[in-house]
Amino acid sequence: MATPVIIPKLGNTVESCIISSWKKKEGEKIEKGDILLEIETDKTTFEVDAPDSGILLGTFFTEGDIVPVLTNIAVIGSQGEDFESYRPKSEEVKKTPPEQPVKEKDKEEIEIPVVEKETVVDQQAVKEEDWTSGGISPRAKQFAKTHSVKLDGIIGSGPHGRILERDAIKYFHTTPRFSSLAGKLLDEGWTHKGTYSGTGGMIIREDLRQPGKRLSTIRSTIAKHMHSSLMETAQYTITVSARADAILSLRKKIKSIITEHSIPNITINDMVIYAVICTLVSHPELNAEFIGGKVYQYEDINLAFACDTSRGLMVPVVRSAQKLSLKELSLAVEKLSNEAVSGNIAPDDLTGGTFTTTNIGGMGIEYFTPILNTPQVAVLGICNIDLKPVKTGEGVQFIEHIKLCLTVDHQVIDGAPAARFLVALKDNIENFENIAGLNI
Amino acid sequence: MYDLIVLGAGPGGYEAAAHAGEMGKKVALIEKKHIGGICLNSGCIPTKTLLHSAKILQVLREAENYGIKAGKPDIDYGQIQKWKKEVVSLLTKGIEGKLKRSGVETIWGEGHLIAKNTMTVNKKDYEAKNILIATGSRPAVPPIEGIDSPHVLDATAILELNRIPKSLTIIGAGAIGLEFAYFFNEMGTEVKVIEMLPHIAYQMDTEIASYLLKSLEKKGIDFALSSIVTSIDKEGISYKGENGNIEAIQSEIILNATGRLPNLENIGLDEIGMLYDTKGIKTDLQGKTSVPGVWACGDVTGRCLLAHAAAREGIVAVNNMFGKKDVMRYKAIPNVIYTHPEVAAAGMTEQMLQQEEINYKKNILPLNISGRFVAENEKKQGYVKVLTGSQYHEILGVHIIGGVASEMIYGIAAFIEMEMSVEDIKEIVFPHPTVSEAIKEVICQIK
Repeated sequence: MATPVIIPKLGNTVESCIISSWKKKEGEKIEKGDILLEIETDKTTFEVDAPDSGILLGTFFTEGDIVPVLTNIAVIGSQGEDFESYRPKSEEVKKTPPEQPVKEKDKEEIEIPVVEKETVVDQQAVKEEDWTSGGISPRAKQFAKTHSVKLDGIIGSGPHGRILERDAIKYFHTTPRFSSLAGKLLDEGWTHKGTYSGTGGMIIREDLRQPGKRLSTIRSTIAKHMHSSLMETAQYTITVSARADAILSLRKKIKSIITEHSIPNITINDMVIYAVICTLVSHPELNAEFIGGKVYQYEDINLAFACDTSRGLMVPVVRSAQKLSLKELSLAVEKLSNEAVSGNIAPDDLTGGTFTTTNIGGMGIEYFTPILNTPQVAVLGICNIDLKPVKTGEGVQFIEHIKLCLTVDHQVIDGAPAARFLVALKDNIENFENIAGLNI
Repeated sequence: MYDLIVLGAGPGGYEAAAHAGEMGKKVALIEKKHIGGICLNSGCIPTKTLLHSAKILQVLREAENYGIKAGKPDIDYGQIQKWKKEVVSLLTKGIEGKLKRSGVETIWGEGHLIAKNTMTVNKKDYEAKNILIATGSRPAVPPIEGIDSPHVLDATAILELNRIPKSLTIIGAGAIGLEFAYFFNEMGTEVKVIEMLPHIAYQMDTEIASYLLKSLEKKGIDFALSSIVTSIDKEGISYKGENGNIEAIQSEIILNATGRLPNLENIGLDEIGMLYDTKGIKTDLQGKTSVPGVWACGDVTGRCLLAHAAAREGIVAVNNMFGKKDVMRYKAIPNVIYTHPEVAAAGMTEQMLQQEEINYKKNILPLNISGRFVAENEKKQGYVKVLTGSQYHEILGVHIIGGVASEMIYGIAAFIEMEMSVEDIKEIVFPHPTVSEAIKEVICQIK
């Protein structure tokens, strides 16, 4: 006659217990009074004795399972005896998910967990989602109290991540300590770099990094925009250099007459932008945006130009720029630049661009790869003016050239049309009088 | 195939070899001359035996102040030398025993790298997965006319001197120069120290160094600071003094204690493409060199020319080569000068803090606030200087002169390693009555 082993009722308030460990295996011969298993309640652990001698015919639960009291958990009897009738009905108990291979892991070398506040938060979030959040066993709590361990955020090896005493002990032994100084610094917002340079792997000052600076709103916007530009497009850059003698001589002329005549201070940058606008008129495929798989080509050229301000990069927009004369364009660029720098530019003047130029040539930059101002499909980088050897009838001459870098989105613009645009632009700059006239 | 071949059996090499042996690795230790290196045979240990004799002499001379009449003490220099040899021999046996217990095989001869994992000794090749270079350093010989004269000795040679010279001029007021100055001065030699810098004990906090200078001068040692030796001849030595005048003095023996040079020659560094310069082999904080599988520790790296630093560097390298992450930290390596008074320091000096623009607080107290110091040091002075961070009150550096400073400084090293703050140290109980209470006192006074 087989004898069932039941979870004893350990008190009026105890509804269920956790099986902490089996001391005997199925098929093992046992004597009455042998310790069969250890169970854990909210308050303590208990040992369950064998109620009879015989063979441990079967066990119905594994370590970590929560079992209601007075449930059959095993059967003792003679070899070959049928015991299935003792198996508790499945709805009587809630089985835990398959046991995590904690035991094997324990034996291996334990990696020191990285204590990052973010991780802790994440784990708590996961735990809260779990309807049966395992909680902390009383013994684990006691250990934590006596050893000054904070168990918040760790996932235990018990059911539903319940933190058992063994988890608390393991955590205590494997969590890196912070030096006194490092502790103070952490409170001030320093964060752990992930290294452990102190004695015995202690975290010391050199393992921490100073609190980071929050990005300003404008900087965050730039960061997001730049990152998404590189993530979402197939941009590439081509470069060319254009003879600059035409624009330089015009610039010289303007400089010489600016005081006597009421003309705007038309800069090299203005002239290049003017040439860009003229070129875009004949190459409208670059005056476009690529949104949601569709190309939107525009008649109006809303020329955006990058502007360095103390609050970060701003890109004011000259609307319907193809309608402006060189003088008008120069005045518009100057006005918008001043407004951007002083911080009183209207938000509307920062939106709606269809093509962008960016100029760091004034600082002597020879080449760079501008990043697309998405969803626009092209951006022109304007570089410095430098001497370039050119073979002429009289031998080799050094002639001033301005360098131009065009970045386009290969999703929409292939190399040849981009090259055609850039060559046309070069031509317009080299023969600037043809587009602007020399009568200022 | 060995797991590790160590080249050089000084404190860096033998500690590393023993450590690897204890880890169960197959280790060979190559040494051309002495187990224990300079430290044991002609450095740290033999000088400490001499200095102990000098200190006993000093105690006997001052014994009357404490109610003991010992008469006029006599020096038996032969016995001083004999004791020194006994100590060295005893300690050599100790190290040999340690190496044997750890299963380290000692190979006698000069090792030369022929490949990054092959070492030739006495025309026989030995292969190893890792090689640790710990060849140490030797006294530097500055380009001074007459420096090669027979009466110019280096630290190794002066230890073998079988008599007490009448007069001794020491070039260089670093730890080595100062310890010999103290010793021979106690033995009755007329001692002069010539130092290029405006202060002595260059590695120490200058405030503490100036206290040391005063107390050594009081004992009768003559110092010429900001002075450069110009030439050496049979009779003596000439130097350009602080005022720019050339002075010539007679001196029976001249000790060259101007510094040390790494032993980089004839070990095959170029054959394996090792990166090094005149200061030593370039290593990272794990002991790795530019050649994978080849490691270096100790004076040959030029990082920190101290035996205890070398030993730790060697152990760090061994840990890393066999998969245990470890990193060398230099911020709390104790520095000691074993004169009387002793000077000991750990952490940063005030000059270093100023140079690195670190905000600090400084507290300094005389050691005679300790009852024990007063009882044992009639009319003598000592100081403890504590430098702490302004913001977090962490211990940045502690500098002690007087008492057995050398035996207390490890505690400071622990404070610094653990990044303990003034508040933490206030919770530690120091034994009473001890000189170390002065350290606690000065720390407790920091607000």
